[in-house]
Amino acid sequence: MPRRVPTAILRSAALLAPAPARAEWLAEWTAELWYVERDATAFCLGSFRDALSLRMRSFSLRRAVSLDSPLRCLLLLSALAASALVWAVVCGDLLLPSQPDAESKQFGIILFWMYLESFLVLLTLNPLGLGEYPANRDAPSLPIRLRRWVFLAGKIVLFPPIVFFAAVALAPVFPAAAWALFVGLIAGLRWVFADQRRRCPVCLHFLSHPVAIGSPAHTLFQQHGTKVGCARGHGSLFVPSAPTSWCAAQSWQYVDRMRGGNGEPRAAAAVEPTAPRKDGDSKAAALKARHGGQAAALR
Amino acid sequence: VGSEVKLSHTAAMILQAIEAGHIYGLSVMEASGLPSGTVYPALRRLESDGLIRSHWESQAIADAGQRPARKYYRITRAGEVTLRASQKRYPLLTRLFPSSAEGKA
Repeated sequence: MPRRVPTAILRSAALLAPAPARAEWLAEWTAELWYVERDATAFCLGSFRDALSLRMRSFSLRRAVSLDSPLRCLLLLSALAASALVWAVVCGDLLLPSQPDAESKQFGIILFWMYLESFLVLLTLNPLGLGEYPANRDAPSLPIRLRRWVFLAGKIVLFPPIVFFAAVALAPVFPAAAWALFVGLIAGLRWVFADQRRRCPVCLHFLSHPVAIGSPAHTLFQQHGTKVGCARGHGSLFVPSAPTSWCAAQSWQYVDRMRGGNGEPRAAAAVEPTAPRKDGDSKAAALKARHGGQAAALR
Repeated sequence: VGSEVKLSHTAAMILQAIEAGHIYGLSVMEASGLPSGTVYPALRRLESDGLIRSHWESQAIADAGQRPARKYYRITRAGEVTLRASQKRYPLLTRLFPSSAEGKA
């Protein structure tokens, strides 16, 4: 007997069930539906409640506020900005003008200058560089590489309203709210760049599995720092423990697509040590060989 | 888990139905008169509390009967202890579904 409507209901309800349990959940309901002789639609409507309860049981607050997913990160920042706006309107008596007047324009310019100043202050405290991400043959296509910059721009745009509205909300009870706004902008910008540095440039998820490379006693021409990899196999990032003339900033290495395609595990290629900068230097080559052995031992 | 778990009347009814031999969701629904939206979430809750255990029917048996394999539920030892406590709390529970042991007697 064709049961298109009940099956469609079950399939719709399955979307509510958590992904790891979805297949088994749907299999059970589909099997039970086979035995239902009457009111199959009413029977299937109960599946929504079941899927929802399963979803609620598997809900994890820690996972919900996790910033690992770039989309979730932007959504969380948007939600925080909206919450801060409501807080500012309710507690800080913020008036939203229907039409921008001269005063509000001037206020906007001051805020913009304050934002630029926080950039300059941050530049003196902490370099804004994101590291080296070479656009070589292993690099992904331009749209994928551009996504990283769009994500960075999104964070830069979304966090100032959070700080601004929070400062406005605090202003009636905290006289130094203007200073709090300035400090908040600096701290926020610092977080934006720090967050960007610890993400994979391809999938924009957090890098993981840190491996210590080298030792502080043998730093000449040798890398000493930490290597972190992308869990999805896009590459690895070397973060030097101390900036040197041959390794000043963190450097990304895309996984070798040729090697990945020849049957070798992509993850193995991802943790391959990066080549020393001074090609042809025999000492560097010898150190590289030793360094490779250390990395293998650490693995 | 164990005897410390206090079940609601509905959950106790479902546990009693499983002990009485109604070992799959639809059978529990028919025996208890509860809707599917109540029975299946309760089954999952009882299972996560360790009061019942589920297993899939062998695919070979299902294929022989030309029907899909079903998921069966069985009461655990902890479930039995909890059910005894619930029966003291809800004395009419045993009258709803006579247990399998009573049925055999």
